[in-house]
Amino acid sequence: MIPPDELRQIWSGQRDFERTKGGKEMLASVIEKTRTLDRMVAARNMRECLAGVFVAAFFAWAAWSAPSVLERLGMTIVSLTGAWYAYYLPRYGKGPRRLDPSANLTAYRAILREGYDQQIRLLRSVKYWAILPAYVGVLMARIGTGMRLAAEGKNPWTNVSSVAIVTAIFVAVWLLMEFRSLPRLQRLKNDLSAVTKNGD
Amino acid sequence: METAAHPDDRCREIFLRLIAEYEGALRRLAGVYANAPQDREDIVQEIAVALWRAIPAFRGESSERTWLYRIAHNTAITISGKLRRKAHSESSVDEGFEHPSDAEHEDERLIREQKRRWLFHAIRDLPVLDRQILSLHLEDLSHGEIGEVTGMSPGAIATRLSRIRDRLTQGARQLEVRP
Repeated sequence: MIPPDELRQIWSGQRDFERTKGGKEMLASVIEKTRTLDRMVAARNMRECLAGVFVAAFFAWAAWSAPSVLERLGMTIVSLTGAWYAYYLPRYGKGPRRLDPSANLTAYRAILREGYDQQIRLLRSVKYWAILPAYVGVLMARIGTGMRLAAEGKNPWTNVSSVAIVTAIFVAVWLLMEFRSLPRLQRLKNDLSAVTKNGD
Repeated sequence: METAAHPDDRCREIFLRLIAEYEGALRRLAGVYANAPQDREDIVQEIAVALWRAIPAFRGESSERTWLYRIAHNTAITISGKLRRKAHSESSVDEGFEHPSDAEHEDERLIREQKRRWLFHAIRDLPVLDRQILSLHLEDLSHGEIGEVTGMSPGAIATRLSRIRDRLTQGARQLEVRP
């Protein structure tokens, strides 16, 4: 049996775990890492916001110049969805919520688990409030185009390929979320549970 | 006339002081969560980043020591769930432990080495909260301070520590009877 004093001696006698880096060197690398991370998050948010603005502006113009009511309506829905992205992302899309690491350990674990649950719920619902409206808008506009072409005596089925392409893109986005992003989050949550099991 | 120090300068000063004082403890703490040197280094780095971000918000409502350990353990928990180097970790049991000292007798060194390995493996086998409590205890924090870090009452800490000691004793006995 190792007595408590010896236990403490062994614990604090780790040569390897003693200082290996200068504080200044560590500070420099920490500042660099923090700045890089902040820049990456800001750049990503900016890209997503600009994409939203572009979609909103382009489809607003398309709605303005659309020849039929259904096309105009569809384009307007897509434009509004883009405007919603541009509004929402800079305000709420700042990456994963930064938890307060100075919370006590019991509270922090609970917040961490809750955070993963919230992200999973959000990702499960995003297809309904972000992807579906845009898809419905595009579909309406394409149907409108088909109806207009039919009314003008032209072949409405020339429109089918673009509908198929748009559908394929939306399905791909949905599949990526469902089978890549969601399992990744679930895995992170499971990893956390594995690390903290029997800990509470 | 004195000019007020820039907040960033103040943060740098605090960070450097904390690292000078606690880097050894943070490295030991990382050893509680991971075995492979690279994993331990990642944990220490992440803790340093979390500290740097948290310094401006520190208002001194709790002691600096307990505040630092809360940040360190919370960050370690977050990152250790994400570490994907388990296989490497398993294969590098000997890495990162003490190197022989010329002045030390070989037998003594081997015994201490064995005990040290046993201790860190035994700690990593404990549930995470027990690991945290034991490591804080070994860093000389009082039950009250450990309670401040973990959010548990000092009574619960004492009970838990006694249970951890029993478990370590059992482990040590098994080690002694092993041929």
